Amino acid sequence: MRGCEKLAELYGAYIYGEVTLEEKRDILDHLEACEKCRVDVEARRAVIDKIPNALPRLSDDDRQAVALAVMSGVRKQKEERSWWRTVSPLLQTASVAATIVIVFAGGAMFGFHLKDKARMATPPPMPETNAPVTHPNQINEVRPQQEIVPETTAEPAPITTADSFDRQLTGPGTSRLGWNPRSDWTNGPWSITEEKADDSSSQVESKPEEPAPDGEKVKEQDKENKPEDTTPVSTPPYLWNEQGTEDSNQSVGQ
Amino acid sequence: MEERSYMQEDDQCLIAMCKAGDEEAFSRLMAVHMDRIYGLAWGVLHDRDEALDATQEVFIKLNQALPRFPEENNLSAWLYRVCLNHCIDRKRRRRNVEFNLPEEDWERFESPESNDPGWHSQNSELGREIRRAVDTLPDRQRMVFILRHYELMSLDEIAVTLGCSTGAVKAHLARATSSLRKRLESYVYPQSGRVERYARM
Repeated sequence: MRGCEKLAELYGAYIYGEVTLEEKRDILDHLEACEKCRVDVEARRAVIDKIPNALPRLSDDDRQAVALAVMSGVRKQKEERSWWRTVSPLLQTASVAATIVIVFAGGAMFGFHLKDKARMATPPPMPETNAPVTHPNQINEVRPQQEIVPETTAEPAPITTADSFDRQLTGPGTSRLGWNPRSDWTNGPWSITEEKADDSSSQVESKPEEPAPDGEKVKEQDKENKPEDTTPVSTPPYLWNEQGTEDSNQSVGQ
Repeated sequence: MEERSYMQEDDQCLIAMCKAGDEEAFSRLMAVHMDRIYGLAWGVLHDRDEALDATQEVFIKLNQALPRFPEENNLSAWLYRVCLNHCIDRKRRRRNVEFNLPEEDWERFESPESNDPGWHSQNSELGREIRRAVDTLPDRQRMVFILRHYELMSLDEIAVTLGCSTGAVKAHLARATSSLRKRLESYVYPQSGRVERYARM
């Protein structure tokens, strides 16, 4: 004998006659004993009986209309499918090609960007000669390096006489080989006096309004400050300030 | 039962012919199942035009599924399941519109079913209340109730269609009838004094 809750799960099927013989026997036995369940089953049956179970039927016109609509919809879908089957390979090919083009173009642009970035990051090489610098960017980049040289605190490497001579030859206004085509051959083709004249002339040209007497005083002071046993007079001033006497002393000592 | 099995065999034959590209076979399939599908759609939607649209959609889906439809499958169960899911989705989409309609628009909203013997009773206040009560059932209970109440399927077939046990179907049916009784009892027994309260819901 099952309880009310357990049998209540079968009351719907019982009303519709969809229970097994065993279930039907249990329900009938329980309904005889339980008035509450009996009232419940009677109320459900009365409500269900009030709900009509006749479904509307399609008329012949409606039937034909639905059939025609379905067939037209099917044909439309087939046309769309065939169109898509025709177009989809072309679209797929085009999309693949476009993807490849985009990837290559993007890679190339990225490569150019990296190349430009690297070119902008590395400074241009130092001009080895005194050739005039025409590009303004090069002037801005070269001048600070020339000014930094005197500020270096590291001790210079010992320089031999030959090395010193080479450095003198590679001063401003001379080529690396030290050949000066404007030499007057009094001191040979390696004349340095010509270099000094060029250098001073360039300084004069840069400051044309400077009075001459002061310049003569400066020259006299320079002559007084110069050591006796050092390089020739024609040594450029920047070599004196940088390594002048010490270099010569080291070279002599060695 | 023999008729049912014969129909299934007929369905299998027609499905095979459809797969071979026979459009006449598909037309016959539609003719065999159209009334039941329309009845089921109407039972859920309670609207003639919506039920016609739903029937059309179900058969278009059948045509799409036929090339890979297993011939041994129960076509009726598949059609009912597709129809129920489609109708419930459609009903969810229009639920707010339907329930916000004023009372005088109900007759205009519902198309007359002059050929239907149960139409006039459905078009009454009790009929509207029945539809509302059925609509408020949970999906599973509503499916089971509609399929069984309109004698579209037995409980065993419903179990196969919904993919659950027969015991579960019986439990759904019991809960559905209990909910309907609570909702509609005042109309069945007007002397209980709860008519006006239900009528204004």
